[in-house]
Amino acid sequence: MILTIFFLVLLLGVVFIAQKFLFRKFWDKNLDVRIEFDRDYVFCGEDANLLETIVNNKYLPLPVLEVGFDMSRALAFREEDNSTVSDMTYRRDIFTASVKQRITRTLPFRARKRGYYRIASTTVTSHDFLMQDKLVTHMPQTTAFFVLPARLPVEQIRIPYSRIMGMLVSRRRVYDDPFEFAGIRDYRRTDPMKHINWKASARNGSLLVNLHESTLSQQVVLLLDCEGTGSAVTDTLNETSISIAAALAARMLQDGISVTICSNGTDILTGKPLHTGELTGRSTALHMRRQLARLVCKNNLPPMDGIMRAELERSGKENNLYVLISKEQKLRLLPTLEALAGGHEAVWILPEDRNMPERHKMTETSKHVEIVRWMV
Amino acid sequence: MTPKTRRIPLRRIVFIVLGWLHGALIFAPLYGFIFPFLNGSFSRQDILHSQLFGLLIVIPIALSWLAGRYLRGIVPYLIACAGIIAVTILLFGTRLMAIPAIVLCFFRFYNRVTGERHSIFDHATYPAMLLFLIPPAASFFYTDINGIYQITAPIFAAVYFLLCFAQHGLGRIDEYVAVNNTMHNLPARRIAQISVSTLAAILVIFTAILLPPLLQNNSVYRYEPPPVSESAPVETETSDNTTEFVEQPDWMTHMDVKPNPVLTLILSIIEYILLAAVCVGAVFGIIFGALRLSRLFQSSFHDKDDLVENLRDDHAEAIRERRQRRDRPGFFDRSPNALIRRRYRKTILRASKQPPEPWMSPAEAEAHAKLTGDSIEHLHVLYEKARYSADGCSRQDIAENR
Repeated sequence: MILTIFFLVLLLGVVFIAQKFLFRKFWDKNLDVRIEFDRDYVFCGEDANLLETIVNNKYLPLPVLEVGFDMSRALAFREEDNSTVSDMTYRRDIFTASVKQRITRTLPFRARKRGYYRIASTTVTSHDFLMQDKLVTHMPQTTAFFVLPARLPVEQIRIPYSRIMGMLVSRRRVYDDPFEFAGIRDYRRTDPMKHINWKASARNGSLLVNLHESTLSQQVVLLLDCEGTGSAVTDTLNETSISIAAALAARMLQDGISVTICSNGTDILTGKPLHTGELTGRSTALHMRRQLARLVCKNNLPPMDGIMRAELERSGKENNLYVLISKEQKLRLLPTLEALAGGHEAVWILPEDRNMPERHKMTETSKHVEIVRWMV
Repeated sequence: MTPKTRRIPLRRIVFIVLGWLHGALIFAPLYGFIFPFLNGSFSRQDILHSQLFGLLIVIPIALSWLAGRYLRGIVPYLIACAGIIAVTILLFGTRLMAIPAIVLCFFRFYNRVTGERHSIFDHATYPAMLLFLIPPAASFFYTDINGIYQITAPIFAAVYFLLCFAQHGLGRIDEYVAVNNTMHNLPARRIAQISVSTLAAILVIFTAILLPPLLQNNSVYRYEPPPVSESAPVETETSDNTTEFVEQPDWMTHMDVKPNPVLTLILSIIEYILLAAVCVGAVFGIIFGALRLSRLFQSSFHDKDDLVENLRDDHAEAIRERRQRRDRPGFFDRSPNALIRRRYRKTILRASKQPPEPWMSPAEAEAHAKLTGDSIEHLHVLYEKARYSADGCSRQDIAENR
């Protein structure tokens, strides 16, 4: 009898340890935890959803599954019961998965701030069948999300845009495109010699010149100042500057104007100052907005003055229209912008705080630079 | 507007009832042990009857729990206690049973006054199983006490163990749900369903392991003091055997030989293990069948904000890719190709401080190990031949490379 009891106790122990061992070994096999956004991007201030998907593709139920991850607090969940917000939003959700089940939970949130957000990993915790042991694993995630610069009201952006368009129209100059052949005509005394079509002239017996299509150079360079961070006013002015740049660039691209954006702000992925290169066509608008979403404003950035000088050295074109978007009221950016414009007109959009005292405001004016004040 | 009543979950009710039963299970064998002394009847049947009768203590335990829970004033509680004592006396037919009833009511009252939430009357504990040793131990040492206690006590102990296991499991589930109750979207109902189901499955397995052999057990042991002289009875026994010895044919002697006890034990263990395995298989089969059947009717459903989808067997899920099996020569592979590949691998591993990454090409692995020279170049050529060429390496190649 004693032997039987001993054997039974031993068998119970074996079964008990076996179930623990099996759970410990197989609980995370064929288990997938995915954290995804339901779309790639939203504009600042809009709502989106975060999808938590648990796939338990095996014949082992998981009584409890705790999924934890951290995310920027600029993305604010509608239900904050399961979140702890400090420097980041730390979220913990509890699931349970029966055998061969997929569970999808939708978490609505609001994008409060422009930016590029990533969720790098999740911590998955489970408890065994008897809720005695805690098992933890980490699962990498590759979730990225763009919060694009906020949309600006159409009537607000119309004013600076019409001024820029006015300048473009007044500065239109026709350049011959040697690769676009338009036709042939008789030679005039004012025609340059290089345009004479010698073969056609020989056949005709009189001088004939080639006609070329004209190119209309309409490139606008947006110079965006992102210096400074920390105070609410500076952050707001920076965000407004970026939104203005995004709205202007999008409209110009829509109207077939080439746009280049240069900024002293750094790209969060590359760590280098932003330079979009020449963007053409409306299809590049989203690409441009994404680049602006990745822009980081911070202190001790290279001064805008230097960026403009570098641009002057790099471009050398006199037909570019320069638009500076900077909140800077103290530094003397005006002479540099004039130099960059090369005697042509330029625009300075100056976002400023509505409550700023008059004595702190810039009073300088320029003959070539039109200053458009943008009240925030 | 009617006030919203909070529904008590079924598992909570089961937990409370198990708490009542825990008291009854401890009391019953002890009552069955003391009862014969009071009654004077030591027959096997009376003892069994008294042990089962002792389980009726669950009624006063339940009543005292209800009185302690729902009667707020002390006067109604005292009246209820009087009623409980009377019911206990009536049930057991002896005034002596007033003593446990009074103790029960007093400690319930005491616990209520002190605010004790984890009363030993309602929570089973594993050390309490030691109490089940008292009756069988007494029957082992005193031949006057019936040996039935040695049969019933392990059964009571096993049932108590299962009860304790179930109550602890339910308690942990309850505690987890209570701790996280404030969390949004907590699937408390499904957590309870799954964890209680798994707990029940483990309990069934434990029951299948424990109860059948204990229910079949009939062996009773008695303590026999060592005899004064050991040789005398042996001698008489042998003499008896010699006198009664009758010669039997060979075939009859074979029939009379008792089977080897060790072999019998092993066979019975194997039989038991097979039966237990069949039982466990049956439990899992029933669970699996029920699951498959339920999923025929429901492929997906919503639970709060969760969308729960049941996956089909043929459903190709994008699960993380399994780690690819490394294409290495087998341990017993002694072909020239395997030898060359092994030699190359050893050379690289010896030369490099850290092993090369799996994605590295042979040239990259050599650069990583900073290996240069004619010998490695030759080995490199042979390795590529062994790894990628259709013909592979020959014995001659190996000999050349030595």
